[in-house]
Amino acid sequence: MFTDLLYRLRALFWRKSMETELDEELRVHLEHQVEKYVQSGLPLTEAKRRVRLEFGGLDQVKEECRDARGMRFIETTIQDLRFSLRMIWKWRGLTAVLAITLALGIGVNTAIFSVLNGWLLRPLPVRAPEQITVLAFRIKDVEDSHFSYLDFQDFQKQSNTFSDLFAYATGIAGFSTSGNPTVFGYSAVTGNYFSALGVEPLYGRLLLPGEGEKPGDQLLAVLGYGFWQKNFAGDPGIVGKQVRLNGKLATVVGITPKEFHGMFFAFDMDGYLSVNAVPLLQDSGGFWTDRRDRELMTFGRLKPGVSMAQAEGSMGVIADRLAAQYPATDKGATVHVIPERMARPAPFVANFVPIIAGLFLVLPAMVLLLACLNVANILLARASVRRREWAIRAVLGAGRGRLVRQILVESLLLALLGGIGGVILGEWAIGTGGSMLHSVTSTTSHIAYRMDSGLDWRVFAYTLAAVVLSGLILGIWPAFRASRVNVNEVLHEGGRSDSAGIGRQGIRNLLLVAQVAGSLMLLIVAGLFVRSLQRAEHMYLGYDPDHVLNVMLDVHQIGYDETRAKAFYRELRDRVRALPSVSSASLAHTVPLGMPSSSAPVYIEGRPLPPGQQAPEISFNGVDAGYFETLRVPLLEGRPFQESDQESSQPVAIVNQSLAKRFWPNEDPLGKRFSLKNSTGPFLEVVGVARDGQTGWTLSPNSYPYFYVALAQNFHSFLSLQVRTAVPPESLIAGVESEVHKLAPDLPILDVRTMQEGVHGLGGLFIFRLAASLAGVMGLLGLALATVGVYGVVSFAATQRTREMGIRMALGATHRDVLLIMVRHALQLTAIGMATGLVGAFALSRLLRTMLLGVSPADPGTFISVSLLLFTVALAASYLPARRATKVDPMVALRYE
Amino acid sequence: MDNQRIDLPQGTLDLLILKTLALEPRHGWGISERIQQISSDILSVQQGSLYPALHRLERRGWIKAKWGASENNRRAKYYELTPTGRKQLEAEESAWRKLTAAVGQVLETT
Repeated sequence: MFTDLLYRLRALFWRKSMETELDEELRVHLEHQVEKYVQSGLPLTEAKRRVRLEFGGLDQVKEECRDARGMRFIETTIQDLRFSLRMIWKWRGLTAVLAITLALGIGVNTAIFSVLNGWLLRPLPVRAPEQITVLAFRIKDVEDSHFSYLDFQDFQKQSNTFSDLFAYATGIAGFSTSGNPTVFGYSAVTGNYFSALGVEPLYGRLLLPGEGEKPGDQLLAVLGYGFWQKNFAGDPGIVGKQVRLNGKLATVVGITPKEFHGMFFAFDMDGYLSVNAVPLLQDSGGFWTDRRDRELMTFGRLKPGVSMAQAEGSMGVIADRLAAQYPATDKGATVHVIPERMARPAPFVANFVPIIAGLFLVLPAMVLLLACLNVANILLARASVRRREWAIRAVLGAGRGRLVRQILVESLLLALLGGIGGVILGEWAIGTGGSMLHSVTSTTSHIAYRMDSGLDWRVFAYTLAAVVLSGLILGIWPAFRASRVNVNEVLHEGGRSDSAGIGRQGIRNLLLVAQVAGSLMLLIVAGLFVRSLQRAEHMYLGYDPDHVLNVMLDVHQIGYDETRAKAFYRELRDRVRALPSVSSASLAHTVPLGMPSSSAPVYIEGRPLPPGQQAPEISFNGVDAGYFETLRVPLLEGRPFQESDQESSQPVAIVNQSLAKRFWPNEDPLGKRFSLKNSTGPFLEVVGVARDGQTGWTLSPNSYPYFYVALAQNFHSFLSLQVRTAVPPESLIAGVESEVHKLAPDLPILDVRTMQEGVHGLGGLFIFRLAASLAGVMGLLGLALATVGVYGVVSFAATQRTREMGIRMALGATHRDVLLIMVRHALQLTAIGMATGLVGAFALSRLLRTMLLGVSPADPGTFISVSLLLFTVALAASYLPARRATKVDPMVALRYE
Repeated sequence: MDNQRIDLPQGTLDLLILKTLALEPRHGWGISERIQQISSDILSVQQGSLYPALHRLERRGWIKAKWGASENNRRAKYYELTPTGRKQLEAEESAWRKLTAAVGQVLETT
């Protein structure tokens, strides 16, 4: 066994010396045999002849000896490789073009897969990440999936399918050691968060189960690695010290390791606080006591061997129990259990995440396929030129398998070159894309955003698979052709090139049809996304974001109480209003497309809820009197808030049309009352009706019920200041910031950007722009590939049919006739391709329906204009080479070989 | 005389080579001559299959090659049996005897 291996290795690496030895050995044998015959009386020449005859083909014997060495496969593959490299060098121009084509196709796939990898496939850097699931709390009319602390505790105590249940809520606070607070984005976590995840501290310790989970408990903090490095330069001395969060004392107990970023997708947590940070820092009065105060994102670690379905069933039992015990708050609640990977960034997307991911893999795969078809077409054209070469090889003894293998090695090598280029291209694309994303999300915002899409083994494996697949696709048809080569026929063809090849154009025609079809599909998808973007850009927002600056502040971070906060904000607003070039200024709790709104249950006066039904949760905003004027939100009825709406006067609200329509469909909503606490009050009176518009966190074609309350009557420490300017708003940033610091020098400015930036930002148009860009790039790639394909086919046909055209022209055909013949063929194929492509595009676009805004998947405008575009391009691409064919002198053509 | 020669049946070449080398090392031509000699010229070794067989046996470690001086003082590649080769020879020999005995019995009774 071992000797076998050694022998094989020797055969591989010392091949030359083994060959010489073999030669010598056989020569000696022949000499001896000749001697023997000479000694028995034969003349020398006769002896030699006899010996040679008896021995048989010397080369064949050598071949068999080589076979016996057992390294044949590797030897021949190395031969194939060297031959392929020589071929590549010989056709280096063409190979470069082909490799670039493939690189484009593979690069697109690498880039998109890389992003998807970071999003869906990369596991959390925790122990046994496949056991981690997200629990989504579902109750009628409530949008998000958070748990209240009391409910969470009950689930935790009663579950037996999870080895651990843990939860967290996110927030932003002002972190200070001595003086100037810095922005601190944190997760407030239950005590068992770290132990359940299996994270070990870098320094100090992490939270222990149960810590921070009772109202009187101390506030504890664990710092994230990035924040620690940035603010403490990696000094472990901070562990054990006390710091202030929004003015409140907390103790730093430890630091998390570098690779842990928290569980909130795509964000790098600055640190982790004990869960009592939610009531202490976030004005959350009912956190410990109200089951309707739902702030916690909950996760569970499945016990080994327990399935998702079992866990969900067990959670359902507990949910039913709670619904029975606390019907006022938990009636009708269900809990879904979702694998953590599928719930990034949040569980409500769980249902269509695989669809989006699948779609975004299908599109680049199509581009790659088109690239391969293009390359294959060109290779096939070259293949017909190489038939002589194969015929000769076959004659010399190469078996079919050998020929096929050689061609596959060539195409795999080409695919490999394309793959290397593709990885480089893909990584470059991700780099530019990442910086684009970064500029959209952060310039002035302090919240650390993180996009995890580097190269890892999965990306390499995917790319390698793409390379191998491409290589096989490219090689399969030429290999098939080569193995069936009719030696006799080919060798007797003489100098004539492949005139019989026209009949065999069948497969190349098919390829072209496929290319055109694929290209049309990609272009149509791109067109739909671009239309969607246009619609989104022209969507009615319900407010005027132009020339408005938005500044986010939270005075809790410097420890202001309610009185001081109110005074501060009022003074700030007045001072900013007095600045030159400022038309108006206002305050609001949230801004559309800038931040998620708050929501509250709405109890309409005089309409008791049927038993077992929950009050609907409606989103709302707290705004001051100047808001509607500053943002130019039209009021259809009634009045905006006024200075007279104070804390002591009747609580008022302004509703939007959709809310009015929903609750008072045929009545005048002015004067109607509703409560946010329960059906007996306290009540808010409707004093105005605002026009419907975009009020959510993301752009949506639907209108949702929404209402506004007066800031004077609903205090918040976290507010945004809107400033409408007569000049470009960016020019006023410095001025506004200095006003803030004149009043409160320590207050960190959380975010300052123009509202237009917000509209184009992450919640707004960014997604549409991204989709349109991606699809556009791929559509253009597809178009380019189809163009090259059509050009190539016509060009090749022109070369092949030069003689034929020469004859026709000699017989009286005009240039125009020849042109028509050449172009017609290509256009016929294009038309068939487009017809197929249209059908495919219909099917593909139906899948996209959820991602298009206000555009029907069968939008005729897009379909028609794109088809025209493609047809025109194909026409041009076939015209040029066809024209070349007509330029040939008939006499030259007739003699053309 | 040539038409009395019988071609070696499949698979027996290995056995004969091993046996020939059991006594002393030989080079390829020497092995071929020896087999012919001992079998009173009945068995003729196909020249073309001798060397592949030798290389195969060498790969499997049953024989070992060494370059040395031949009778007429030329360089020749000598093969000799290895200990594993000797064991293999014994095994194949006994298998052969069993086979021929069995075949013989069948031929006699029918």
